[in-house]
Amino acid sequence: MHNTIKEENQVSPSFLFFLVHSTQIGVGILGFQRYIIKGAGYEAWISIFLAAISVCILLAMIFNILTRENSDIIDIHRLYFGKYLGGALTLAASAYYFIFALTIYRTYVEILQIWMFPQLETWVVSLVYLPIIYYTVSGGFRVITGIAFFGIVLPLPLVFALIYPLKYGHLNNLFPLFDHTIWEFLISTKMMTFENLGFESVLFFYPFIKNGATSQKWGQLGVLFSTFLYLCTALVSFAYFSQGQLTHTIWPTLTMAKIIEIPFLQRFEYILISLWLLVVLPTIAVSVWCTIRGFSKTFNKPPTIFLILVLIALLGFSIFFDDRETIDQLNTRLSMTGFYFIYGYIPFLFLYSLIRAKIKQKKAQKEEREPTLS
Amino acid sequence: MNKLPVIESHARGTVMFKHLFKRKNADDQPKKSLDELINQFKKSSDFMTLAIGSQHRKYIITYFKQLVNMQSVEDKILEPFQKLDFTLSSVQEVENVLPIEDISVTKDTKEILEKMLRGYVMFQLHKDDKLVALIKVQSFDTGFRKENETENEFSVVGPKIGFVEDLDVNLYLMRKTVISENLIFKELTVGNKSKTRVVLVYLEGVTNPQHVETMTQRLEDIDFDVIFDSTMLDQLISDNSSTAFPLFLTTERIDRVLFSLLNGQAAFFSSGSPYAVTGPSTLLDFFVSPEDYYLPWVLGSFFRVIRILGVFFSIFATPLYVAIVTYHYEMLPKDLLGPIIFSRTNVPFPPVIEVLFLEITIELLREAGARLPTKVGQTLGIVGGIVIGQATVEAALTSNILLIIVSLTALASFTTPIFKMSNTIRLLRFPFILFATAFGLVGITFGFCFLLVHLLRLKSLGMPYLVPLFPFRPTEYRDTFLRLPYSHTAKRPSYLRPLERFRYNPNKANKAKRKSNLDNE
Amino acid sequence: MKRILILCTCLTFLTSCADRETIDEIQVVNSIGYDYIPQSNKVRGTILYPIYKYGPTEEPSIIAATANSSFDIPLRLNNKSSLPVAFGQLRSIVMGKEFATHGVDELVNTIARNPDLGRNIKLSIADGNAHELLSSVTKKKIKDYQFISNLIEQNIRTENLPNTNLQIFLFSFFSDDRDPYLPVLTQQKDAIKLKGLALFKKQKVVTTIGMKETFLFKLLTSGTKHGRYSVKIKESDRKGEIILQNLRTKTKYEIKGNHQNPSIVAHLTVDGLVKEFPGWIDLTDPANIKMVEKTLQKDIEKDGDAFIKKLQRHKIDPICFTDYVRSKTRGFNSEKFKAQYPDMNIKVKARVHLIQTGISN
Repeated sequence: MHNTIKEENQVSPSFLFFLVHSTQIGVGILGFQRYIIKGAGYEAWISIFLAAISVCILLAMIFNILTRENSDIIDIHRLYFGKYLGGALTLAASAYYFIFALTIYRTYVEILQIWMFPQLETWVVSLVYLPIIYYTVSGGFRVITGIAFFGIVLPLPLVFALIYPLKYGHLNNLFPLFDHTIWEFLISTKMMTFENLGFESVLFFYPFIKNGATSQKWGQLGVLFSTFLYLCTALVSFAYFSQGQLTHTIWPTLTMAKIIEIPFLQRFEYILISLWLLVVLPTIAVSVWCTIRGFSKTFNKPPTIFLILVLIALLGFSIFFDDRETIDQLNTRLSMTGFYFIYGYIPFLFLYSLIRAKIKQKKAQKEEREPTLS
Repeated sequence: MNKLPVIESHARGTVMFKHLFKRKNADDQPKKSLDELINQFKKSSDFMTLAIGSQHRKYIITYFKQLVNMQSVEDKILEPFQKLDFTLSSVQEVENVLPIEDISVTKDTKEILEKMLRGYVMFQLHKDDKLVALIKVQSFDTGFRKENETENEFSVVGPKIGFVEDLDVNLYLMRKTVISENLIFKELTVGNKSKTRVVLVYLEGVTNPQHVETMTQRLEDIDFDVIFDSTMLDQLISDNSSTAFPLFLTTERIDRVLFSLLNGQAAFFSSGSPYAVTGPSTLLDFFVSPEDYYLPWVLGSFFRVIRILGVFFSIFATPLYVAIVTYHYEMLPKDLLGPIIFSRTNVPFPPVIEVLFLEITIELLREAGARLPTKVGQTLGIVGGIVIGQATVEAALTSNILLIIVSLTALASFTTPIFKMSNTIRLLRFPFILFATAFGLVGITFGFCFLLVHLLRLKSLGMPYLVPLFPFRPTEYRDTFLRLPYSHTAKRPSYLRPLERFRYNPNKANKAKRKSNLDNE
Repeated sequence: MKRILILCTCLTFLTSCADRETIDEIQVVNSIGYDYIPQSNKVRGTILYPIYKYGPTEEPSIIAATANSSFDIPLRLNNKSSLPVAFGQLRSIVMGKEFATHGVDELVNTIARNPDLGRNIKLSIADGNAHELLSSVTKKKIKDYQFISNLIEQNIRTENLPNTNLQIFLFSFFSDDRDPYLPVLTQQKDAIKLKGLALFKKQKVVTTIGMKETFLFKLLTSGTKHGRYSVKIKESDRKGEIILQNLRTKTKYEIKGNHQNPSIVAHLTVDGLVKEFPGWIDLTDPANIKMVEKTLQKDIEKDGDAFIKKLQRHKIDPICFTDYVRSKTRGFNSEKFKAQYPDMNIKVKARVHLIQTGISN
């Protein structure tokens, strides 16, 4: 299929690194440690590796499908499954991205409300945050990539702040090694899905990357870098907290940030939470963009209408989910849906695409050997 | 490419209203005849008509008194005619007789109109002749400055001459410094009533022709009445006129314009304005000072870093103060807690009002200082700065810590070499203060996100404004935050798409050859 | 669209959105003390805060309130204060002796859950009444509202106190394999003195140890770079006292024996300098140095063994041997180890190395 996106709206392939990495790092990294130790305990950092390997394989599968058809998933759905079933699948995928954006947005606002401003109302934050999202997304894909770039590069020095908690670290916490069964490791790997979600948005924005086929290595690098960050955070958290303490802490990364002391500012976690706005913005922007693209291409209307609708929906739903329990449920439901999406639907699509291509190949070979008389 | 509908809001208004009211602009009339033209001219008192000659032969010479050089008229027109004893058979012979190079013979009333208003003398062989000769005796030495010492863009080291209001002098200065056949001047006329001469300058073989084309096209598309200054042109052709950030670099200095041209930008001058406008420019171009190049690269880089840090400090220091004092008292270290609480105890206002009060006082001081004559301005500066500041602290209207912060930020905002950018920095502080008072630290991040997205969406002449930050080009960082030695700055930055990559041979540039003396012994 | 944007932003600035805590409109609390009154089964909270009205030097002042449990204390304190009480800059928490022996579980959970509090808060136990301790800070002799937190911090940095703050306390508190500890402050005629450490079993204080044993505790838990230790020395009929200043100590544990009967040896390598010594010892003679080193070594080992026996008797494990063994064994059975702990053979082996002896002889 021919790529119909104009060159001036495309970005060069190396930016796939920033896009994939920024969509993966969202609010998950602030509290994931508590969930992954449910299976393998303090050896869950090995599960992070396992999850990363599976994500790399899935990303390779995705690229295989996309490069074969040289288009995005909307066209692929239409091609493989026909107009109506394909349209329905696209709408389902768009709805998934909407819920992804909603979850990340609401969880971030919740963190703001718990850690900094307990009396801050959700709609007040939305009044300022949603126009920023509008401004970003309406600038086009290039602007979103720019935000993804800055959302990674600017907060990157925060990684060095991880050194402080290490001073209180007890490396003995990490030992002994390999004291858990394989099944427990797999449970922890499953818990890591939520943190790794986001890379599959390549399915939507693949045509916007120049020379998409060559960009796969940047995508894999992005996944590896996210894994590196998750690994570092997990290891430092495990050294810093005792296992009993970690099960009592809802946001371990932020609690860890409380101990960081720089000469003229205390309470580093306020800086962390404020900067997290910039980290989370590309994730939400990319998901909103994917949703809008799915809807606008299926219904053939200009995307701006859908942008406004999506933002109003975000406002409404974020007010609806208003306490810890419902937000937690939202997170778990999304995690489950994402799990089935990436570990179920993508391999299915991959196999379907392979088989379809093989059948086409056989048909073409048959035609060669026995040309139909015309 | 990039044909932009360059109808500015006021000009767009006249087009709209034209359709609504069908009011005809006085300049858009069909061509007048020569008699109608002369009748129109006679309404002004500075329009002179001379009839010279002998009894049966009278030549008519008409001109605007203010525009012509009377000495030239007497020496070069009247004298030769007297010598010839007024024997001319046709108008065309005037060209051979008079010692003036710019003479044209025409019937075109439009040309006659234009040239007479520029200081040409109209010569008719007989009265009511339609074919006339237009002779240039323009007076050009009056009304303009002779020198420009670039006080607004001062540099300690380096040449201090700059452009003046006279376009020809400016072009002469350009030609004098670049001895190259590739320096091309392209002249256009912009403005309905002012008919300002605008000259586009570029280096052929270096500048990408797309930039020149875009600029030319946009300049030609302008519909405006009087162009007072080239910075008006800058706004009329910019990609986004509702941004606070300057999209083109304007400068009075010759070396800065030349540097932009050498890098692959295009520049234009307009008559009556000492400012040259270069484009396309990026955000980091506005923090470059020519002194960085005249000092050794270590010093140049150091000062550049200080400049950029100064900018950040001046934008974020007061909002941070507001955010921390209003919402985040927990962030203060224990030794700073005492002084800050004490300094604020007797202040009746919330921190926002304090800050806004001081900021607006400083803006008032600045504006007042700019309007006053120099002697009074200096005194008022001292009075304002010291007395008002001290008095407000004593009266407990503000805290003394805040006073220090606000004065430091005011100083820091002046470190940007380009005046337009320092205005932007001054303005940017206020939205951040408002955001900080609404949401604290998170508010500052909100504001920063808005700013970032805004910058990402800006384009200067079609090129992204934030290059080389984004799209990220690691090789272009040689001359942005640091100024690397001349051996490294030989390559032109690629985002301007120049036709030629290298400015000079980098291997031959002066590289410090540090051989160990020990090995030579 | 831009107009809607501007409208939205204006709306947010007009509404007073987040809760303001302007720095001069709140009462910034530095220390809080909890006391348990057994007669009425109530808890008494005391806060220590500075007043800045009278000049740049602050005046510490206290407010006390009684409530049924530690949850109610902030509310009752606000009832007695003209400015809202803010705990964001809390630096130390003092618990009265009865409160600590009664059980600190409730309070610790409250503190751990509060996002306003940093993790560098110094917790301590008062040998007596926390209220009196905090009141003595306001008296003329001390008059520095940051006194308690500075006192503890300074001793951690230079003297015998092991590192302690809220994070370290919570780390041990919530862990199954460790027992927490806290410094003990006592009052001596309006002056506050650091007495030693209080050792917890789960959530109650079971015993306290003095400064000398605290030094051993510091050595045994992790190597350290500070601390002083005094030893009595005797040779023939000459007596004296040596003060050892610790420069560097490295601690390593070694598990001996098997899974059924583990035994642990703690190896201490002490690099120190002799701060004070009696005049009859001539330290330029290597034999003398060896003698001093040997004396110190024997003393440390003896005191260390006695200290560990004391811990075993109380069935507490603040030095975290349990955790160490857990990290070295697969399939660790925590119950079994804890049952074996009181009778386990745990020894201290020390090696003292004198590096410097001062500038004059």
